[in-house]
Amino acid sequence: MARQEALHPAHTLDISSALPAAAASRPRTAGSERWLIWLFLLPTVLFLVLLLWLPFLQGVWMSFHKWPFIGEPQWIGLQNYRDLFGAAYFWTTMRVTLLYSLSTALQLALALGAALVLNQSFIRLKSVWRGVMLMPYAMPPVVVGAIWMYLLDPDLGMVTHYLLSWGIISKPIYWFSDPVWAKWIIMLVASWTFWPFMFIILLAALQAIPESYYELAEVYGANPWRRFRAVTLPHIRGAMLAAVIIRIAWNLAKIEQPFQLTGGGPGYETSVLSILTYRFAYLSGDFGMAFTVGLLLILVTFVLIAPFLRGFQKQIKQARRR
Amino acid sequence: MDLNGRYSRRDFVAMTAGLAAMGLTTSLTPDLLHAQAGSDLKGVTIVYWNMIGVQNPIVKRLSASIIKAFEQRTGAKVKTTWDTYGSIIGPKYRTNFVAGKIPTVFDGSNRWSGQLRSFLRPMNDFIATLDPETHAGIAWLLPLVEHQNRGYPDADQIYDLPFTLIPQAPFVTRLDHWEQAGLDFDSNWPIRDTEHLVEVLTALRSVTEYPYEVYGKIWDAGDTQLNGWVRSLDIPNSDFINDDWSRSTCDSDAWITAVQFYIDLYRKYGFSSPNTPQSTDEGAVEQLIRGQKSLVHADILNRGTIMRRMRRGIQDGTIQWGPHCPMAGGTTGSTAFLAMSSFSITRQEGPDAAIQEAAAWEFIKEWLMPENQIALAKSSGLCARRDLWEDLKGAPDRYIEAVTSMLDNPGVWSNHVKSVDIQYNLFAPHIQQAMQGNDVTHELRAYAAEVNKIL
Repeated sequence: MARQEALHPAHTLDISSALPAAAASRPRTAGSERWLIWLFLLPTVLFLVLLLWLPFLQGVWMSFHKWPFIGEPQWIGLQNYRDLFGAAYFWTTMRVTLLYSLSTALQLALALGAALVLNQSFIRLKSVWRGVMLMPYAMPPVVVGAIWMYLLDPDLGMVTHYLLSWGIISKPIYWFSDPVWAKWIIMLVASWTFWPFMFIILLAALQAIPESYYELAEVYGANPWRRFRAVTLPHIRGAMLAAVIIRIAWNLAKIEQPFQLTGGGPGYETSVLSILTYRFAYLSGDFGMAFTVGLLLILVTFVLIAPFLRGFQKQIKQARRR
Repeated sequence: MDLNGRYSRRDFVAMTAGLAAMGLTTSLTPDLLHAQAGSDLKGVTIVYWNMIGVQNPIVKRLSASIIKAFEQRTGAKVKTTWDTYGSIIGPKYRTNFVAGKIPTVFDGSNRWSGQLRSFLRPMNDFIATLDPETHAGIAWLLPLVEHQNRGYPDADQIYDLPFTLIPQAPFVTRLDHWEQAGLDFDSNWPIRDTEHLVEVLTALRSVTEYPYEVYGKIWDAGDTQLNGWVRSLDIPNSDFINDDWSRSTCDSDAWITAVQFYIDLYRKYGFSSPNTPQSTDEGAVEQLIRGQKSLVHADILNRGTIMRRMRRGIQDGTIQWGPHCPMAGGTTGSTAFLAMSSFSITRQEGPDAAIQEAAAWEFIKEWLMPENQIALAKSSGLCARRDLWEDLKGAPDRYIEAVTSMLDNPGVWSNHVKSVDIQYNLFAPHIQQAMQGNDVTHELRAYAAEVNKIL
């Protein structure tokens, strides 16, 4: 402390006499600052309340109504929930939604692999590769869906053509008509489209790890796998968790590609909850039911991201302790 | 065209030559463009949302020329928005109407407009003023429109006036495949009933692996050939909902029999491709053009595609259209449902309301003119005016003969507020489940229960 004071003698001076009287008055300053903080927060709070929380609460209210697009709403209590839980298609939809959320794992694997490779010092033209890898994410999802529709077309598509010519399949596969293939295809296309988002986050986290950590690990004789576990993973865990949380939430709300590729069919086999919400809201004009499905979608999303959120909070606490 | 946007004779000749080159021997003439100058609507602007058929460039161009002719005839201005079917089936029209963005006049299908009925203006008073010839030509459709709207207290009010028709659904076939299969066309055409259909398809399988297609995609499963088969067995139960709109008819014996046959064509006989749960008539017509199909059901809007891609096939008679067939044992004599493209006028408010509505009606009349009706019939469905059908017959592919022969006592789909749900959203998933092997009766009962819940 004495050394510090010696280094920074100003810290020991009473500077209050040099300040204007008003600024020197602590309680008044604190009050003004608090007021200013609230003033700055107000637009955001207003934005959140008016555009997020009020519509959300109205949605909850609407889910207890038969709420046609044109016409008067009618209170029906829990009937929408009863109808939904009693419908066989709802459970198919739930199953598909949970399966679809697994595409996040695939996206993470792709992103991590690519980020690790691109973070190596021997890779040349890194910015070019980064650009190439970001391309699927930069394209509008509907365009990506259209491209895949043509690629996978059983009669004209390049994928079928090569699979047939290489003898991997003997007959064209009708990817979008077969319930099993259709599920895999929407997962694969979603993964292909959205993995660059995770890639860019993980790459940034990897680049922030000081090279000296790896050098030290190498001095202690750590092999690449050990270096990955002891150095890389702890440093990118926070970024990974954040990316996974965002992607799960976004994946579950995505509608363009499954709707475009399969229309939710065959049957309800690829109707994720967001497609069901869209169907009720925009095709059937049944907003009460749409909000019921929407609320369940929020619930499912929350349940799926809760463990990752907990992990993320743990990371933050650990970082603070450090 | 001059600086004021008027057509010169040379422009007109160029335009009609262009249309003719694309397959439309439209009989729009310079005289038509400047004739009937009786209506003076100078200074009036109407907003028109145009969706029927305009995805096809030929139809879009024809539509533009009719609009132009109307503007020149009357002096009115038309602000046109090109649109798609999805807009009226989906949320766009509903949302815009509720938000107050409403056209003066729009076209659509009159089985989807029930949801917008409160915004529309009845046209009975206008219809009564039609010239006798035009009135006689469309009068046969008015009871059908009333029947479509039978569940509304004002069913006798005409809110949608048909201008083209799409009888669902004729056969279209390739004669060269019949020759390759050794089938005698003259003795086997038109197809007599579903048993005969199976015989013919069995023979055609020697030419194409999947000679036929059953449609599972949401917009085609309950919209093409299936309903005609139900109707051939049981007219009262052939629409998706019953006469007083109180319950679904789809758990009836006729429905179960017809849907079972529909699924059998795919699963039992194997005539339809593995893509069946996602297939459409537009896709099947593409395959027919490529020689991968031999005989399919397709609405006549597909003729535009065939004209564009296989003109020679139409001219030399390789492409042939034929009427839909009844189910074996179906004795009702009716095998078709009639989809109609129609115009609606929205209720106008304010001091200009009357002139706006009158202008909209004048615009509709433009589309009912014989020349325009005949031009429309060549690319965007059969014309609504029955008196003109004879003039259209004689094309080598016999498409007019095929579709007009289906129109004795046709069925019409209800224009219920929930018709899109009933006919498409709720129906297709059950048909697709049946295509996966689920029990047809079980699926139809489940579907009927869902419909009953929303009625």
